[in-house]
Amino acid sequence: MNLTREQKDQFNEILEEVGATLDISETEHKAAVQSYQAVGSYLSAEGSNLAPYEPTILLQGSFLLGTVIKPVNKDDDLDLDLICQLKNKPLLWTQKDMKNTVGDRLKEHKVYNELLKEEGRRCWTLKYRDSSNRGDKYHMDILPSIVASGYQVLLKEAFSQNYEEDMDHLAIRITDKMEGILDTSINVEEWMKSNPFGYARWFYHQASIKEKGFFNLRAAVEPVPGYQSKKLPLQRVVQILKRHRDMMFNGDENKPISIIITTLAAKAYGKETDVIEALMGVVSRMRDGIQEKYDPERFTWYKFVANPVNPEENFADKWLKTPEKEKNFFDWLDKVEEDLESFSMQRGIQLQESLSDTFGRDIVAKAFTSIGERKRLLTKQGRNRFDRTIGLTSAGSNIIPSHKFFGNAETED
Amino acid sequence: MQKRKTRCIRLAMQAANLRSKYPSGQLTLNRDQSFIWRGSLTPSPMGGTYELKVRLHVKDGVKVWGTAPKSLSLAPGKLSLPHVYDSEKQLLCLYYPKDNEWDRYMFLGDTILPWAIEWLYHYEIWVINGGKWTGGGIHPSS
Repeated sequence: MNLTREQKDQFNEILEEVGATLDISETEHKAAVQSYQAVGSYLSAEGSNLAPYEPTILLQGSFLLGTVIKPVNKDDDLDLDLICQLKNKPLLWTQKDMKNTVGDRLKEHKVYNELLKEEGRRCWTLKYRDSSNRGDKYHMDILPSIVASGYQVLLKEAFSQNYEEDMDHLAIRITDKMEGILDTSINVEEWMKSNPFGYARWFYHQASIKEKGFFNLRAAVEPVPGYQSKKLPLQRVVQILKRHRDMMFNGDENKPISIIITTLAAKAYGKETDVIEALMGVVSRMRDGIQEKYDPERFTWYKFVANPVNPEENFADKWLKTPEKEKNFFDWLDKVEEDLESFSMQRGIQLQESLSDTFGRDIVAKAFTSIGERKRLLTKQGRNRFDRTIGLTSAGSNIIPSHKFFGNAETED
Repeated sequence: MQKRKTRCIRLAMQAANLRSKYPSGQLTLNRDQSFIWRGSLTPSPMGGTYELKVRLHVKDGVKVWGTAPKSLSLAPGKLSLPHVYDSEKQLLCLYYPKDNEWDRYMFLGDTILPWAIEWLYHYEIWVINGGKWTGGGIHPSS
């Protein structure tokens, strides 16, 4: 990509604004938090069958990582990944018992019972509908899990101290239908491990850059994570990549999954401080994070995308069974590279059209409108800098003098 | 804006100012006490390139036309360009005359041309966002 410094700065401003437009607003964030807290309160209320196990509901997934983006269609649900942590596991509980205890409590609720989807492999899924006028819609995956007594303390510590590579102590125990021990094992040590908070800690470690006042790491893991409007470059990159994927695959069930995109992007990220440099760097190095392993039983090589906090877990395990998923991933990455290259060679309206095609007209229109309004304000304040040969640019040595555009009113359509 | 109230700027001085500030343009002096400047402007580093024609006449003042693209794209659903005196002729409206935002005491190179750059900047956004003008300004009351 051969762009001048000023061109990169402008491209950066555009990408940053597209990212910000894809993000959910503070109002939407608050609404999501209220919704899951409502479910949480219900699960831990006095008289709940879960009360003896001190249930805590925590957000994981893209809300925890700060990489949430709006769904492509306004009417689609927002995904909320929740963990229902339980303590004081009764000796004789199997995974099935734990999962059913949570499920029973949900089914006791008249409304939730209607919203409960078919039982998933690990989670209960609630198609939550906010009863207020806004009618927010969430696809809530509730993952029951067992943790030891001091877990919350461990979590706080892990997120406030220096990074340590061994995240194993943050692992939680969950249920998994496929394991075959669902209704027999009472030994938690045998249950499937998952480590969403260890993963999040790793992600923030990858994402961190030296900039003052940027990020409150600990706040991300509070039971009620605060709204962060300012995102780290890696977070923006992940948002942009996910949107690119959403637009390209439009709900195809074999689309590249977010955990693979997020993990490979985080692995490939080189601490660039500009979104545009970060995006270019990530895209050029993402393939390096995919390992190839040999399966001696099937005499075949297969792709492996290791979970950074549990290297034995392969996020791409479904690729072997469904080769289309693997093909889609590489086609997608090729397209991202192609599109970035195209953008770098286009100018003006043509560039704007390409961006609209790739990221969606509404999003791009809103992003440019925001940028344009900022420029208007700059002119008003006598701070709109420009250069005579390359136009409006913050590094320009001239200033647009104050004035008002005039002329005929446009004919309305 | 600083205005030199002593004397208005002579045509030749305006021409010299344009030649120096926008050297890639071409100037044609006319016998009717006017000149025409033609040149390319880019609204931003990633913006398109546009040809403009500027005419300054000693009595009639200044006019600015977009000359290339010959037919500037319109935002979907819109029938004319924003902030122009004449959409077909692409005659741009860059300042509010009633407030004397431009007069013959000011160099074109410091006012009209920068405003043209800014017009083009907001024009490109207007095309892509469905016809919302982000540059501010006012309309004559209909």
